[in-house]
Amino acid sequence: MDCRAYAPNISAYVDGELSQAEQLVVKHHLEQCSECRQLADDFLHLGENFRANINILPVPYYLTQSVLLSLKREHNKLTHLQMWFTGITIAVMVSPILILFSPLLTTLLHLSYVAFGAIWRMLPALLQIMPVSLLAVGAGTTIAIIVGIYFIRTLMRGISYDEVLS
Amino acid sequence: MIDNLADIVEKVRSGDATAFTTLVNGYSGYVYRTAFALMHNPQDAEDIVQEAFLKVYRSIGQLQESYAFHTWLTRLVTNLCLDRLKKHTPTPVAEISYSASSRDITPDWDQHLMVIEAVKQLNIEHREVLVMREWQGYDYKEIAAMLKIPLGTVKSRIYAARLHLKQILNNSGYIKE
Repeated sequence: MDCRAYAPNISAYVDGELSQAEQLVVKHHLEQCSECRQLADDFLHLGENFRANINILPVPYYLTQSVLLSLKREHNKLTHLQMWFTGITIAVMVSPILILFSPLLTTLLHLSYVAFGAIWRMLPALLQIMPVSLLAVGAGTTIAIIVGIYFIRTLMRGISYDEVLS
Repeated sequence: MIDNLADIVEKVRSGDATAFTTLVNGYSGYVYRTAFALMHNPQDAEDIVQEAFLKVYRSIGQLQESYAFHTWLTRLVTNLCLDRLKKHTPTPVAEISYSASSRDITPDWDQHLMVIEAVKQLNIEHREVLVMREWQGYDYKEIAAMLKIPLGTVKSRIYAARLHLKQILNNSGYIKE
């Protein structure tokens, strides 16, 4: 058989990636063909050379420090976020109690309830006068949601939620 | 790289900052060399190192077995490099310049540069299979799975890459026939 037919298998033979039958065929050919034996030998040495030369590639002296520094930055960012979330959670949990015990807050709550009720009752009339207002409310809400999502995404860029909640 | 790796990884998982520094010290060289071999661009290699350790920091908790860290990290770095290679062609770097201090480490830097330059001349497809096989020690099946190509293609690509590298080194006078 022509040596060229063996060549791709010689490369796989060097890597021990042939089936037992193929391996025997190539081995037999290598015993008889000095040119292919040389090719196998070259491939072997090429691999050793390749590994040896990658292994001595100089690494920038500042690399470890810069990695540690960016990790510290990341850690600080995470801690900051966790602090925010903890603060907001506590505020949300504590606010009903504060509202219950604060006359000013109760008054404000009552006022907002009355105001909201009045707006709610006036809504059909308002919509008749300015039919565009519903569209404006919808657009405003959508914009607010988009801005909110963008803000949260910016805040949590590169950080998964489970890290923040952990 | 690190003698008691499993212990160190276990400590890192429990949040030990000193252990993490040991891990970075022990592995940053390996990660950089792997990334450089694949990307052939010092800046890209540095970025990969940063990205890789950031991922390690974030997801080391997902690692099932501490002793599997090396394999896990190797795969992580390879995937980062392959993703980056897919996204953009690395910025060409004219010359690889080494500082005077680093030159003292090994005796034959001309030959070293010749090999590195030869690897650089390989196309990305050849370079990635060669690095994955020769440097990272993946077998053909693993390479096929990671690159999402048939096993036969891996075999022929590795063969072609070796032949091409041999040819470049022959032409540069590195291998004397």
